[in-house]
Amino acid sequence: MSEATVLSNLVLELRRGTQMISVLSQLQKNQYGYSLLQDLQKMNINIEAGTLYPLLRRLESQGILESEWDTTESRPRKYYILSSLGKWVLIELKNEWYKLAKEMDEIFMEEIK
Amino acid sequence: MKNIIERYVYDVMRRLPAENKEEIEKELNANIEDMLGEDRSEEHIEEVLFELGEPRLLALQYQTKERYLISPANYDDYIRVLKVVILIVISVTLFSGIIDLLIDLGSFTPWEMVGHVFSKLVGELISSIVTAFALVTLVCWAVEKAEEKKKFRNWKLKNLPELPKQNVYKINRTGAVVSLIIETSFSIIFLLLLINYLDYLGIYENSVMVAPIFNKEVVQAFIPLLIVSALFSIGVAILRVFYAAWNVKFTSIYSLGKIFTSIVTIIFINYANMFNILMFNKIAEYLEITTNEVVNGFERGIKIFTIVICVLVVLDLLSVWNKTLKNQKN
Repeated sequence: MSEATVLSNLVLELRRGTQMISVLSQLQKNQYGYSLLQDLQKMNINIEAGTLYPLLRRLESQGILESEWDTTESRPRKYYILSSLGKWVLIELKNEWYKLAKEMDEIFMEEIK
Repeated sequence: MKNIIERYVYDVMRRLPAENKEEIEKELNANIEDMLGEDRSEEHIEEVLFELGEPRLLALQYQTKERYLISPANYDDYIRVLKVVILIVISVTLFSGIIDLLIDLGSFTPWEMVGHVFSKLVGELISSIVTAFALVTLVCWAVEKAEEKKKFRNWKLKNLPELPKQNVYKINRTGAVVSLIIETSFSIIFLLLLINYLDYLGIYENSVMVAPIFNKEVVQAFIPLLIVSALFSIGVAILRVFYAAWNVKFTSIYSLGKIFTSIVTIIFINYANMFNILMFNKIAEYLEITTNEVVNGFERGIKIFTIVICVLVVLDLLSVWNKTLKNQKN
């Protein structure tokens, strides 16, 4: 494995952990699968379509998301939004993220000293 | 290409459980339509489907349960058991296959024989390996299922292996596995010979048996005892794989097994009327001496053989106990 691949694999792994927070954060408003995918891609969050769509279903089965079919348009679309459990989970994950970021900062500050 | 989207969706759907299938299908179709937008050219359809990825992998993402028979944690044990069992099956099958071939050898021309060897021996070999593979997999899968139901923390600290001591007489792992394979194959082959092929063991003249080696009734009466003895020695051989070093507990079991099987062997060969008098007559005929002389010589041979067995067993036990007691001191 080249040095670049080793690094890019590690970066990918690091980012994967934060994927879930990004996805949930974009679901505070109604979104259908493709609109969510586009939003995430605009924010440089790399998640594949084949990963995102099944993920939405899993989150729904865990009660984190709620869904509704919109049949008023020419094409039916399934819209997802955070449930009350999902809203709480997002707040907790955000807190965890800030804590983690602070801890990492402290680790790096230690190194500088 | 016709109906390419339908074919893609179908390929994903046929891999999913019936539950929620319709819903997933409807959603997947809607997602594909959204991704396509107005541009429905063949190139764009292709691009979208490649973005969604291989149907097999997409379907996997929709699955929630773990999907395997043997988990990675148990995989090494599974492969180890598989190797040992398959080696035993191969040696037993080869042996019984060759005996079968020898029995009806006379009725073939050389060319027929080659064909026969290939069709029969290879066929039996393949079918018994496949059966062994299936059975081991099935058993390991059942063990896996049973373990799954147990609590998460089901291993005990006291079951952790002892650290290997310095200067300790270890049981060689590879040696133990090899002796397990040999022990098991040999026991099965020996029992097979006595149970299935007893009628074929004898002296042949022009492909016709003229004198059997054993007295059938006497041998048959012995078979249950021989089976117990074989199971005993196989059991000890299995234990040997799991013990890292000679300790009092294992050495006691080992000694007991060794003594028991030796006693059974000695009784078996020394038992009155075990061997057929017709065989002795035939040998006497060949050597041009009296039957009595043959029987006497044979009995002397058996006596020497018995003594050799006893000496070997005693030497083996002495060396094993020597190692055990030295280990005990360290």
